[in-house]
Amino acid sequence: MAGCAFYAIFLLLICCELKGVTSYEAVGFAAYGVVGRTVAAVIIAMQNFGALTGYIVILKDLLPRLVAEAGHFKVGHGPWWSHPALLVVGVVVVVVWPMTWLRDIGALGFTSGFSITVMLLFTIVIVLRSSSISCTEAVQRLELHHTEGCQAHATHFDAGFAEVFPTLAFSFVCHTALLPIYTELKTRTVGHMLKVAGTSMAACFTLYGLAGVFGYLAFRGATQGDLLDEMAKYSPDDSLVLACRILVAASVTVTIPLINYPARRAITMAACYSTRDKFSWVRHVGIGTGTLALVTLLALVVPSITTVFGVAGCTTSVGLVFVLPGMFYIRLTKMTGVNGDFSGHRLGALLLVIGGVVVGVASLVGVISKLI
Amino acid sequence: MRASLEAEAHRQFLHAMKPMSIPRMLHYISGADLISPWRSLRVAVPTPDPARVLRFAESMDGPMVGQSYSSEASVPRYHPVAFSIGGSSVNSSAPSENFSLGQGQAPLLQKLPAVQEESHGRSTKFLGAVFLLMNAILGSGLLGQAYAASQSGVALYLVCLLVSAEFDCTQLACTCASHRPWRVVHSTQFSYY
Repeated sequence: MAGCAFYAIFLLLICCELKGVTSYEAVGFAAYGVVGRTVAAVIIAMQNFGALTGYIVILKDLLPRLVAEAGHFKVGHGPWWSHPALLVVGVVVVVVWPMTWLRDIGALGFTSGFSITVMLLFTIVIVLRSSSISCTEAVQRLELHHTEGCQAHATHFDAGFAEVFPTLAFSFVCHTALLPIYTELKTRTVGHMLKVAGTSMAACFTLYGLAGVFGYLAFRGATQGDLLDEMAKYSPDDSLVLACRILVAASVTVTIPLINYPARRAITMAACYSTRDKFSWVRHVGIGTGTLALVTLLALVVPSITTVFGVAGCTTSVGLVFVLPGMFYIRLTKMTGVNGDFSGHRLGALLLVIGGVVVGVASLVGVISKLI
Repeated sequence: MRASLEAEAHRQFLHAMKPMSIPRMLHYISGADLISPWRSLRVAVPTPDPARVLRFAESMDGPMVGQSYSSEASVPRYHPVAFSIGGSSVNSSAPSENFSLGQGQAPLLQKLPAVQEESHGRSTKFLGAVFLLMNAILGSGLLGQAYAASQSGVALYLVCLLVSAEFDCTQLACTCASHRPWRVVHSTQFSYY
């Protein structure tokens, strides 16, 4: 798997090197013209759609319970306005929607520091609370029926493994944000940007590793898709967890418009490329509203957040990582007629495309069969 | 001269191909010269002669020039270029100015004091960029990590996490590394966001 991924990067880099371009859409355009650019843009848009849906699903899990606790009633037994779907739609329309109208993404800059602080706090709470949570207790309190026992495994291999790599690969994707940050860097050198990338990657790796390992060691076989939701169900009276939930809900709400920007950009690249540099309010608000409506609808239908990770991970990640680089490489080397070091991997690229399609379809089948 | 340019480009390219590793990551974070990996990349412009650079870019673009790109590249824009002199890098926001300097190397040396000016107050900019990128990475993924760990076991989970981090890091490194100023002359210009 890792070898294939590295090989795909190798091929993609050759494509970039051949055409002197740095974005996916540009490589797609160089290889397949407008169709290639559109396909690349659509897949990038889908990746962003996955992230947006994930955020709204978190909101859907968090909000009704918080509102129910604030109003001292049980979920599903409150007044008419406390219906989960109604709450989510209300927050999206009243808070998120106006924020997507903003023309300049810089106005949302304050959210990044806030979200990072919240995620840091969440990780600290998991590490602190992991010792006081017991698996058998969790099985009873959450009324779980089929768990995998309360043994902590070092390695564990079953059908659920199909979800692991898509989830993890999806967790680290930030490529739509990389070039904007690079172009706005004060000292814009490759070395400096690599320092930025390395530092943020290392920090995120640490946070993910801590949250994953301590979360699993706390709940073991009873671990569910959304850790925060599970902790809230486990200890409803814990004020630290409650504060964490309120902050996560707030940070998720203000981050949704931020991710809406790259999604909108990808759609603009795919649909109205010729006028992409001319700003139009109708298009700006129109695409933003359409994206938000579609994503909210999707989030209300999807059963759990692991589904979002799985489906988005194995369709868009596999497409972006394996299939498209191989196809672009084959096409570009044939077109430019370059010989030598740059063109000796066509067979490998073909195998990569076929392998990518097989892996993608296999994990998609795995994820969907778990759904039904 | 074209052959040597291509050789230089190829050498840099092979250098950029090396996958990101933990010592490499440490190197970027600490700034300590553990393996000196990207030193060659800092010499981003091998020649100050613009005509030669253009010819090289055309030769690399091959048969595409005049076909599809003619409609794409309306206004060629230049990207900032980093020069390396004796291990320290000079950042210039106007590379076209350097192109016009001709073969003389002395003007580059005169630019060295600017480094100290610019490195002053860099840390806030650096942290700002780190936060922006972290915010792009972190998100809903954090809540699903424990579930991923439960599906694979602790050890296997950490290995998978490392693999995907390394993988994405390499991708990032490559995206940065392929930002070659003398190539962008002929490519499409994008407006991000």
